[in-house]
Amino acid sequence: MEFEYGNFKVSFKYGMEYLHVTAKITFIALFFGVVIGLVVAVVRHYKIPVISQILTVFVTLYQGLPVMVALLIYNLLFSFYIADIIRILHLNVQVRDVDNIVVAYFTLSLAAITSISETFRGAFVSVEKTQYEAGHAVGLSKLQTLRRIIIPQMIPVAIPGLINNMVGTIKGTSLVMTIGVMEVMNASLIPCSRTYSFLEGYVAAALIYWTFTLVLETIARVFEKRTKCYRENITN
Amino acid sequence: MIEIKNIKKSFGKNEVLKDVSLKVDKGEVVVLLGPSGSGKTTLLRCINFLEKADEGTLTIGEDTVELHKISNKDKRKLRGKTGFVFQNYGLFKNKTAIQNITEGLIVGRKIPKAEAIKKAEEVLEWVGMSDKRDYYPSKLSGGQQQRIGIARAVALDPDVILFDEPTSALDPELVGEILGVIKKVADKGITMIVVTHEMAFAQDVADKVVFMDGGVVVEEGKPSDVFYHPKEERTRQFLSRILPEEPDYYI
Repeated sequence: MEFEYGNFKVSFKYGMEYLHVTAKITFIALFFGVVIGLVVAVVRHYKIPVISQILTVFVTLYQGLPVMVALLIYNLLFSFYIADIIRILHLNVQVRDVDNIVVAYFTLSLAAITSISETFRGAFVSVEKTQYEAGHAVGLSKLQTLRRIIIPQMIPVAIPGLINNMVGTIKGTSLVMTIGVMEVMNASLIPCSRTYSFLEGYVAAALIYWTFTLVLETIARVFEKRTKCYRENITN
Repeated sequence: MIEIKNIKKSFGKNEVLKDVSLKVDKGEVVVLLGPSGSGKTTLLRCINFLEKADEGTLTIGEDTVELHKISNKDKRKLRGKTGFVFQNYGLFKNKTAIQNITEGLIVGRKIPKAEAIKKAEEVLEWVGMSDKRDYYPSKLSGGQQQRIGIARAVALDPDVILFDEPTSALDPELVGEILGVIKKVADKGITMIVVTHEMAFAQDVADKVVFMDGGVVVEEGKPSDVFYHPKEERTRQFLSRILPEEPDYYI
């Protein structure tokens, strides 16, 4: 098998053109993952009746569902019901104009929410019980204690896990090619159907993902280092 | 001033408090004594609602509440009248010494920031920790942390301060200085309930000693009475183990 550098370059160029799509899916998924994941973790940590049990069952079951399978199911449902959804919500769009990238956003966000909520939940456990009690004892409400004492102590602990979640999400975005969303993976393979240079296409995609992950991870590590002093303050 | 009536508390099948009542007058220093598992810490925690009692009423000043069906609003109201000093200090690890003190004043009590800082600086000075103002708890020794813990409770101007074994986690050589600070609090005339194993301190500072065992109050009275003329056999047994006595033998 030969490696045609020219074809590789073409694939790389195509892939890079769609990096912004991969980035967008990643950031949207991480945004919802962190925000909703935190809420899920809080609800489960405080054992808020009924909701917490429902979420526990949901997270446990959902963790066992591969992203690929979820994508295919949602995409199928999406394409089947999109006309009805547009009609019911009186949206002013045509069915053919709707991009199924929203399925990608939805699926990866949900996956990020479940995994990030588990990261946060682990970090919650690291905060001692006395910290809650001390908050209540000086007259803070439950919410004030959570916001001002517990969350600031648990975030630095959660950061290494969150970086891990971030990397997982970036890799997960490559799966959305299965539902036809044009992103790095899919775009890198565009020239291949003409030239049969699939190896070059795959390697080009790999290189883009690798670089993208490396850049984000480096930024995150800098942030992790910056919060090191907080971690030291709270773990000793 | 503070009255606890018929408080009961179980953890599962383990009945920790079996109908305990206690009355503390204004300005009084009460020391709770007893072996581990006697329920003294649980009693203290029930007064501050850190533990939810199964039964009983609590009166602080004018307010009386039923402990097992207290609303969150009443909880906060009554908590506002109490300060709590923890065995393992319980300082907020993400806050500096002074922030530990101002947190409750600014966020809990809604006191203006400048005023809260002034107040905090005063109490820091009072416990001799002004130079550690901006240190995080992790950079302070146990004794220093407990000083801040006491300062935090005092700064809130509570009607009563509850001390839960405040010196148990300390190095033996630091115990004396912390007891000294607690004595200073007592000298201010603040009502206090102290759980401790420090007999000399109890004898020196307490107005009343309450001896608990097995979830009930066995005996209470003046320290000199309880220590040297205990009425109950169980008290005598307990004291004989901890009060220094003439040794039975010499080497």
